[in-house]
Amino acid sequence: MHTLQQEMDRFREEVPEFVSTDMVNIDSGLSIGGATVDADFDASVASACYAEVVKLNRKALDLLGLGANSTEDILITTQTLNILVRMLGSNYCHVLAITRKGNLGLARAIMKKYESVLLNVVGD
Amino acid sequence: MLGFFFTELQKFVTQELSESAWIEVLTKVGLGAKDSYMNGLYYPDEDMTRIVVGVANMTGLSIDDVLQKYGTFVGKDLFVAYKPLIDPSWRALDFLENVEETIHKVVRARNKKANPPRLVCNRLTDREIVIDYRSERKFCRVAQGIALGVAEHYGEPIDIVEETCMHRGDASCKIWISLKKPATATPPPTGRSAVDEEEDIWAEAESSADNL
Repeated sequence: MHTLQQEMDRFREEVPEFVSTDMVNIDSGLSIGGATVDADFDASVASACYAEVVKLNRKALDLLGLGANSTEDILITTQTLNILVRMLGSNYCHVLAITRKGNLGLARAIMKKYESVLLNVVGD
Repeated sequence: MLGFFFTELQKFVTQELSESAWIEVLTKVGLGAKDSYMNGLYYPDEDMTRIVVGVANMTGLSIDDVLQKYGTFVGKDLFVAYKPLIDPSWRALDFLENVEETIHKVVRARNKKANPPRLVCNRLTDREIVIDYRSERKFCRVAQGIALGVAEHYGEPIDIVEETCMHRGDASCKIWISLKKPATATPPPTGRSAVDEEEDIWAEAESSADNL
């Protein structure tokens, strides 16, 4: 069995215009693995914020009667980045940031391709 | 120190005492304006020390006891968060032996400023391990509490002896951990367990906090 970090490294290599990726525990907001183009990047704030986005999204969908856990992914668009937050089971989310030049459809497809193997690693 | 450890401390105090006790402690130690911490941000180590001293003063417990109980509490949540990194075949001492190479390695890679303690583990036998703990924070009691929480998770009670301690001027804290021998003794005459005793201590502390 590959480790989570090995899978994240393999994933990183496949994504064009890659900036960073993280596997985030939603309850704690802690990153349990990931990779980034900036070796000095501290994932603490980012992973905690993504976890908060997921929690608030769940709450909102629940209030709307759409089902708290019905989300497949969340897209955050900034002036420089596209950030995809994809649910992975009920306790983790997989985050990918790419530049605005990146292809969102391709990024989604690659995330989906890794879904089963990452789910297997996180055992959720 | 990473904000996660402060939000866990808040959960710990709220659960063991009350929500108002948390606000009261922060106010008493001069951190009243900072009524909430955020998981992903970093805060001064000194804040943690001040809050722990405040909880100790409020409950009448020693600072070491508060740190250790908090360690057990936070250890359980850390175990859940990092579960995907933990080999399912491990038992309590295997986990402690590998925590530096698995969890701390990831923490250092993903949380650059987190600065977790350096743990050098020496597995003496199947039932014994010595952990050499080094950290500027000198929170060896938290580490011991985490070890107790891990042992509880695996259902493998442990004994802990601290042979050297940075608080006594040693270069590191040597924490000797051994699995308890299987119990053969009869229950104490009162029939009360250690868990019952601990619940009494917290109930008493909560009552004291209410009277403040």
